Amino acid sequence: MEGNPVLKVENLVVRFYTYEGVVKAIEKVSFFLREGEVLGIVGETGCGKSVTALSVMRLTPHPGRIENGEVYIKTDDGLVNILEKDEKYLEKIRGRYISIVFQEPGAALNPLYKIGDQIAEVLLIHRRLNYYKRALKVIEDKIWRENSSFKRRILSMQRKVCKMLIENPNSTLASILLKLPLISGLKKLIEQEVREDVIMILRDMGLPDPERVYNMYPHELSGGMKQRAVIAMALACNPKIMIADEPTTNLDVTIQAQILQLIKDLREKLGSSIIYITHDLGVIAELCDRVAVMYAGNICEVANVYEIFKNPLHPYTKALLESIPRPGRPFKSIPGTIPNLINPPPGCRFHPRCKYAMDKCRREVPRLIKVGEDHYVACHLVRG
Amino acid sequence: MQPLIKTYNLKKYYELVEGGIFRKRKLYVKAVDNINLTIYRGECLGLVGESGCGKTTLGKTIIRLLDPTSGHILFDVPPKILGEIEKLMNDNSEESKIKLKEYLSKYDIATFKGSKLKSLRRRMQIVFQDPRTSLNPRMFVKDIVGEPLIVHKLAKKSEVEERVLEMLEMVGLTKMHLRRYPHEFSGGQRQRIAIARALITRPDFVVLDEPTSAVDVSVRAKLLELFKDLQEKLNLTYLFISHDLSVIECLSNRVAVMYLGKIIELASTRELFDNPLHPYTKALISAIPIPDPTAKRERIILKGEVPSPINPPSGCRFHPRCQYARDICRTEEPKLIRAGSNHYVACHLVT
Repeated sequence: MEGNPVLKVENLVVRFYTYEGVVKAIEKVSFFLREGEVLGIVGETGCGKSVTALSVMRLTPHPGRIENGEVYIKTDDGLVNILEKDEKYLEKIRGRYISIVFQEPGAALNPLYKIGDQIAEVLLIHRRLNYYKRALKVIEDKIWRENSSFKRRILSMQRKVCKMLIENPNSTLASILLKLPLISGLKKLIEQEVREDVIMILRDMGLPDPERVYNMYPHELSGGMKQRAVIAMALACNPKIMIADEPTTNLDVTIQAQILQLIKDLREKLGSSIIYITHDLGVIAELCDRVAVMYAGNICEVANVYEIFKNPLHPYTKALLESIPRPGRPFKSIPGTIPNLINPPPGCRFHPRCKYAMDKCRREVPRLIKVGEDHYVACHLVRG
Repeated sequence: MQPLIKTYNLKKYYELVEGGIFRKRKLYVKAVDNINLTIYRGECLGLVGESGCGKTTLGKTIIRLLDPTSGHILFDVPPKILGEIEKLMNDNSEESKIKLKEYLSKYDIATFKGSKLKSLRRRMQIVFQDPRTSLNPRMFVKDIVGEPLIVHKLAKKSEVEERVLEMLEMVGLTKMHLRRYPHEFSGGQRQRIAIARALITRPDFVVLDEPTSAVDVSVRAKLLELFKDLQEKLNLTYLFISHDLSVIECLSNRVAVMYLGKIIELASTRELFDNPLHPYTKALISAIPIPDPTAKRERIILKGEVPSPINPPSGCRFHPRCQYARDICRTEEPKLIRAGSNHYVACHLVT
């Protein structure tokens, strides 16, 4: 039924401990992500879309806390519950198996470093050993071809340090040795190798003149280019899962079309699974395979994208679809406002705004039930 | 239909100074460049374009929040005089020039100053994009909305609160909201306060500068409904600035498309969406994501981004991104020509 999930979230509960009270931001959210699919998460501001995404990466912002639940991520050692792991392990997971692209590319990039160096950092964290090995190969090649015995001696010294690094990447002695004048050639060699990779990635992102972009600072790039650079950073290590948190919200429609096309192309090429968070139903229709609709910290409907648009079952999904302005049709909106999550309404959290609300809705929290092939709804009105 | 506002060769340039004391060089950002636009009484004119194309600058210049570099703006001129002025503009004789000058000093709001300008402000209002920054956080709602009445001396102190309440009720707020601060409201409600403030002086013309871009989908529909309601009730004329074409499509009667400070296409809404002529408009319309997964269509994806308005491309400003660009596009600037009834376009490909 779930195919082959690369990500599985079960009963996730996230609360924020603020001065006004405990904000019940995410309440028992469960979903999964199949290999190679794009799962869209839609909902209004403050419904918990972004908190869900951040919690999946264990990046829940302060004063939030993950209270309960399991988040399984597929790694080379099979499914791993990352909520049980320590920070050191998470460092290995983030960027390599799962990565995130934020809404505001300007805030995601460090203004003091060159674009290229920021992407190189990701590669160096996860693939350092690879680069040492590549550098070793190059040095050994050079030794063979070198005629002057003096230079050969320097190169063999570099080889020794390189081997030291491969044995123990964190060795202090090696890192001190790297700074010595004669051996620093090795450092340059490694940097050159990384640089080539970064430029290749930048080229894949459709950035014009990647050699020049490598040496640019974030403020020199336009919004669309910055977002491409951030996507490059997220995909540098070919993670299996990418979370995109409203990556095109602040961009113009024409640039949005470019970025969406890029995401589509990259998905084909790299076969990554994507969680795409947005409030724009148009983007959802364009990009996603499956959609999860969120309201006030709950998932209220999950279905295939065709099913959501053709046959929405939850009253909130229906209302959301009707609120899209269409010419020649009166404007429809959802009455009321999003509830305060410090004191959420009892029962179904949507009941105060729902025109079909019954007594049962005020008392009991509806569970997500299966109503059809790949279609789940949490509403008392719908029976499985 | 009667024109309410007409602009003639309206320009707004921003000056940039480059270099030191000795090798000073003046550069101009041509934010609004030679715009001839007519806004008819009672209509909603949509203005679309990418960020940085000069939409907001044009809106603010028309209502004189910014001083135009050159050009004329005629606001609410009797049709007879308007006809005469236009006749004089086409006439090049010395005598008519003097006469034109006389007329313009009387009617051209681009030259208004002091109390004349102040009385004009009552009749032209604006609703800004972000209600979080356009409302004073230290003022009560009743003071925010009532201030225009006091500034323009439209009501006695004792009447102000009554008038404010009347206005608030019109935009969907109640008496209990009077003594609250802006931070106590949600985004949609704050935008309602901003609307109330703009409309309390009973203006004829309102510039709506992306009023729905900072709010949620569900709230957006409510605001659009409100705009439509108020337009009918108060007999308003709107200039609706937005980059969201789906909103424009629902609210406007006519749409103007801007690119790098120029209007490149102007048509009635249906005509523009059904039969766009300019390649940029085509790309813009095809870039809107359609909320229907079964819809299959050809996407025109534009290369690159909007060039800098400091050094706009020669000829047609769109040519570096245009897939149909020919030699003439690189050298000669296209004029806005009539391409159908109520359809104007500036493109060499359309004849």
